[in-house]
Amino acid sequence: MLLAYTDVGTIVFGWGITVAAIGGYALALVRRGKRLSRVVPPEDRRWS
Amino acid sequence: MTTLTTSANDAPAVDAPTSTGSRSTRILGILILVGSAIGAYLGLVTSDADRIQKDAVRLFYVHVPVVSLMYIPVILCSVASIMWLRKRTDGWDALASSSAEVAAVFVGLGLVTGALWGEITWGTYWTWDARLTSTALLFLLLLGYLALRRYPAEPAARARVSAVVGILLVPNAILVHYSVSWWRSLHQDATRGFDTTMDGNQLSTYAVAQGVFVLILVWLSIHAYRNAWLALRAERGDLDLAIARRMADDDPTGGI
Repeated sequence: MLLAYTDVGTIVFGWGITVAAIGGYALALVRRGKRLSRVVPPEDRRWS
Repeated sequence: MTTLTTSANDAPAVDAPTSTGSRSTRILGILILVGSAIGAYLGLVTSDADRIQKDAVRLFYVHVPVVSLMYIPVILCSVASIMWLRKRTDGWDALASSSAEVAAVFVGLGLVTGALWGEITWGTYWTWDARLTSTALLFLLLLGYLALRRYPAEPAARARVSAVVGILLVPNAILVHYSVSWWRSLHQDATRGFDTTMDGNQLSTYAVAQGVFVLILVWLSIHAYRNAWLALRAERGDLDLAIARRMADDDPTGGI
């Protein structure tokens, strides 16, 4: 069905880049958070 | 980078999180994954094609939520910048810094998805239209802000300069929003609320997409804020340690 759409390449690229950008940023945030959590004392991590 | 009171190998306290995640963000994450799957199915499979735009309307479900929500982190950054100048606390500095980061992602995505949609509907990726140009300026201002945040300087001085730039974001966002009214523009007028004249199942698909992007914005903002907070605390720890070492060096007894 998707292949029959008009401008399918642009539509897929638009959705794909959105998923990649948000997913990539989310992953970077999680990784950076884990790294920083190791060097900051527990009393400064108060969101549990 | 060093710790304030514990070494990297020390086990954290039982109740201290080892990441920026928490129970609420994990629940939010699951909702986002489920909502994204439903949104993708509705937007790419079941949504009707538009009479005029044909299937290009499927970019609407990505572009419009992104650009409509980008104003929130931009405004948050400016408000937090003003509050930092008044209160000078790490919390406001972290909020300003993290909001700018999230805003840059949303504004950047708005520009890219808008360019793709423009290529189909206008026949060009880019034109020096008032809406597009002002949005590009906002994106550049955000990149400048983020570059300032990474400049190796004394934390308070860096926060002060960043706050001044952060305050400039809201006038720029106002310019973006009203650009289509103030100047002749290729871009459509500012959207006001839900357009109930949308055909078929486009409105319900858009509502789901908008909801999912709201959840994404909340999740990213929470994690970005906690990251910024941790970075400030880690930097403060480094500074404290450097001062302690310097004082020990100055101590004729060698700190003994």
